Amino acid sequence: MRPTLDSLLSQAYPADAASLERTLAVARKELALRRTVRRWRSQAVWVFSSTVAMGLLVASVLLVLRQVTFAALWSRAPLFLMLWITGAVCAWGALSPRGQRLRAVGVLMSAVSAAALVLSRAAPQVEATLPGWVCTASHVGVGLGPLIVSLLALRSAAFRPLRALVAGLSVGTTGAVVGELACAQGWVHVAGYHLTAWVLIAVVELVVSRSLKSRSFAP
Amino acid sequence: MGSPTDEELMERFCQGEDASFEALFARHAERVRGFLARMVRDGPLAEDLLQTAFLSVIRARGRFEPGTRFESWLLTIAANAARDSLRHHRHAEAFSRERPLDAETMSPGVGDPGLRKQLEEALQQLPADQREAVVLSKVEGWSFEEIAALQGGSVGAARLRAHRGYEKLRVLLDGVVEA
Repeated sequence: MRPTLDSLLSQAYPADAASLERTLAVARKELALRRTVRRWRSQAVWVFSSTVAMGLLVASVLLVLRQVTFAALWSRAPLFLMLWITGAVCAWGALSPRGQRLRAVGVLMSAVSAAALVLSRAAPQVEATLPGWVCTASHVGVGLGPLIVSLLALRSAAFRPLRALVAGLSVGTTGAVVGELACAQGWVHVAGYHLTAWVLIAVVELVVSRSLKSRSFAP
Repeated sequence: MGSPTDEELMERFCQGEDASFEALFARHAERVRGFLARMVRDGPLAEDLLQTAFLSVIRARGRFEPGTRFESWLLTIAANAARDSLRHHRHAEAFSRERPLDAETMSPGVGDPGLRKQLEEALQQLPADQREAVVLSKVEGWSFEEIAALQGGSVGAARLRAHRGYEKLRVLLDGVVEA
């Protein structure tokens, strides 16, 4: 008598004790290394902290050099706050094992923040003395440290394109904050050179994260 | 007092009790190996992936959330590893590495080896996402909600993948299994 497809599918797979022994031996070796295990929440805090720390560092340098005043910083406080909240949501969503919805929220918040950055600029306040690409390069440059932190954090989870992209958007808020601190050009410049840099850093995160070998395939 | 649940064992493992990991391994390794073998067929590759899956459990135990079903979490890791491997190796290489099952290490009497081989061959002819949906729903007993969460996309899409895969299997095994 022929079996049904269901009964054929439900047949247990033949046991292979030797294979299991070898696997257990490998696992025991890994356990013996006593590697530090980080919770995903602490990794998300690290990613977010690195972006905030870089922004604060640049702000401090500009204050010391008298390139920016407290009053100017204060006037931009709502934008900084929005960018940091966006960065926090993106970092949390990227590292969270169950963060699918938060990732979508992160993308949406990034789009709103990007629009706010453009709309908050009117006509150029000063004449440009440097080519526009300098802003793009600076935006990407200040994001390199946080980019490395987030790439290392992402290696502890299975690669997911949206996860990597959202982590990149979180990292990109660093340059957006610095752009608000150090650039007084108009909305066309912000849309053309700053937002391009933000997208670029998100794409770099996606591409590099995809090419790196994950340390784990955990969700 | 009954034996601890998987989730309790995982919690203890997260707190540094290695013996709990070994208990979880003893409970689930065989099943995960079966899942991986059905996904990639190639025995040595399935063993590599089994090692990868349990190394992932060790390295990423900080990602295990209380309230998560351990078995689903573990199979999700195994499925992710299999998908990544299939993306890199592709079928051609997996088939080229196929080796006969080691008769000495296999436990006898588990079904008809000829039928099982035909089933494995038929499974390999399905697209990877359909194969995954069929194995998870029919073999592992996952709900379509769980499969959708793993594969990304809607519950309806997961159901459709499983249904199409199952029907394709039925056609491929025509004459071998009951209609």
